[in-house]
Amino acid sequence: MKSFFRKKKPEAVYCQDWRNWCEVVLREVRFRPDHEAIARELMAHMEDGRADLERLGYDRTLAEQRTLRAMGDPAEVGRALDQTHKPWLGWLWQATRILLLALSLTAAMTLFAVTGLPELVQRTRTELLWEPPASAVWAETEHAVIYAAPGEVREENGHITADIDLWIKMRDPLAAGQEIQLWDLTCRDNWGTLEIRDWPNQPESRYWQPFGLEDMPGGWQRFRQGLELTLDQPPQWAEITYPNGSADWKLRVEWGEEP
Amino acid sequence: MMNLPRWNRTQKTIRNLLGMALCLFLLLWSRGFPARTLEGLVTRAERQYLLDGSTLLLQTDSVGGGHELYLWNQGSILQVYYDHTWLGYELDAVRLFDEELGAFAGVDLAAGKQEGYYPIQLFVFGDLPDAASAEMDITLSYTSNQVVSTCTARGARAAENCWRFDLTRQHGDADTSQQARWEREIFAGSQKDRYSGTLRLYGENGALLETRDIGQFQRTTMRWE
Amino acid sequence: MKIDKSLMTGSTTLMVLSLLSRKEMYGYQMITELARRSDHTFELKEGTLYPILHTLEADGLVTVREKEAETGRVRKYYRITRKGLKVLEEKKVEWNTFTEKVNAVVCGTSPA
Repeated sequence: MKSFFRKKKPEAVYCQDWRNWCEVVLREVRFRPDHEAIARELMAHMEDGRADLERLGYDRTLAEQRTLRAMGDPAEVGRALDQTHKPWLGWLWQATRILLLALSLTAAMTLFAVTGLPELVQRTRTELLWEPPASAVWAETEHAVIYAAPGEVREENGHITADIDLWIKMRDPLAAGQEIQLWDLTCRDNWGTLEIRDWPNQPESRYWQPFGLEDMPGGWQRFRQGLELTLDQPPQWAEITYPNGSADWKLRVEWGEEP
Repeated sequence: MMNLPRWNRTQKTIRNLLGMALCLFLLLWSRGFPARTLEGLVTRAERQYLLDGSTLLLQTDSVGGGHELYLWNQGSILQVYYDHTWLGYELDAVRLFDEELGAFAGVDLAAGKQEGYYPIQLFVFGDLPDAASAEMDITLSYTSNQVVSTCTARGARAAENCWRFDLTRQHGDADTSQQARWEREIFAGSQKDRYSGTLRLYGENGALLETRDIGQFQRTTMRWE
Repeated sequence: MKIDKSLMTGSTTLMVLSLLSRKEMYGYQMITELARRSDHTFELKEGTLYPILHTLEADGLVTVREKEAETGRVRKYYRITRKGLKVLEEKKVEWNTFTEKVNAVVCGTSPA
């Protein structure tokens, strides 16, 4: 009980009678953590009272006694205070403070970790940007739907490189990976057929390479692939043919006229 | 000078509770709203492949501290990698295996420890003939070339076309040989175990139907060279 | 003159809220102000003010702010809230009606 009295200010000496009075009050208040604040408020009140009386000419001891008497019955004050300082609310409040601190630290650490928010944003972006453009051409097979659209055309190392972007939606998980073997495609543009190469940056032009199997969340259902064509001149259109027994599928993408 | 008047205790408590709810939501969201039960996790894994109604074969640990589940579903094995945190069961990766002949093995965590060690279970599955019983000569090795023990185990049918073989320690507790120490290490959970063997399938009348050789494989691989 | 305590209990909250409706005050200030305005008729037991103030805070009728005084001591200043002003108005109406009816009975005058 005497703990909150250790922070005494030098000029204010709390008389023992005041302390005793306060302790009777606090005995009625069940929620211990509020004791310090209550005692401070009550003692400050009594100090003000004593100061006023001293200004009127009373001596210290008498002022203290008069002030104390004016405060009233301590047990009654204490019981009334206890009604307001409900222990269950007090402990609940304390608990929420601690839990909130713990949770917000955990949330901050998790969100700002490498695998937290940045990855989540990246994943969401990839998901949202996955859909093929409305202008894409498509072909349907037994296990999948394949969309194709003309991609970027750029100049690289003295050659023209053109991309054909593909979006593949699988219907059957076990067929995924077996269905679209890009190696089996044949590709040609308006200038003629293209060979497939699996080593990059070959000196001869007019060949194509597969690229980019994106690691999509959700596994087998959909993925992005593409063909990179290396040419002498910008293409007007390109066509890919995939042998599929009696139902070869063909897709033709057009780049249109150069602006 | 504070512009906002100080809130009373009730208001502060409610504010804290709302803050807690928000933090919890952010945590769950950032981890992809993990499943609360293992069954929930399995359902999510199944849904990725449009399946349902799998049978659990094995629950084991993986390299790097995660966990794995192996489930049987209509002739294929569903391999589920997951993490178990205080937020729940987080799905890491799901793969579906449909092999002509496949095998996998692992310590069986669900079975619990026996004399301080988990039992090891080895599963063989694939396009196998309908057999009444199965037997397998199993060679357990420590890393790829140190043979630890060999045994012949009776198979139990785990599912249609899937046989389970229970491995137990062959060396006694008192055995201080290198093999025995490696064996104890393997059964305690070390991932240095390698398996190989010969599978024999028998018909109703005890006649040998088929013999298949299974090349050396590690704990979590499904196929071998 | 000394007023019977039982007459005081109901109206103390009303008086405290009235005091605070004009400006924010700390506990001792309210006691002196109350005594001054009522011509020293109302000198309630000072300790009993604090349970009232704490209850008003818990109910959201007043709000508390800690301010440092010149003497270096930190005082808790109580300020009325919007909800408190509303309750004050209600209590004023209630009080006026009450006193009107009591007067009517005591003085024998019939209500207008």
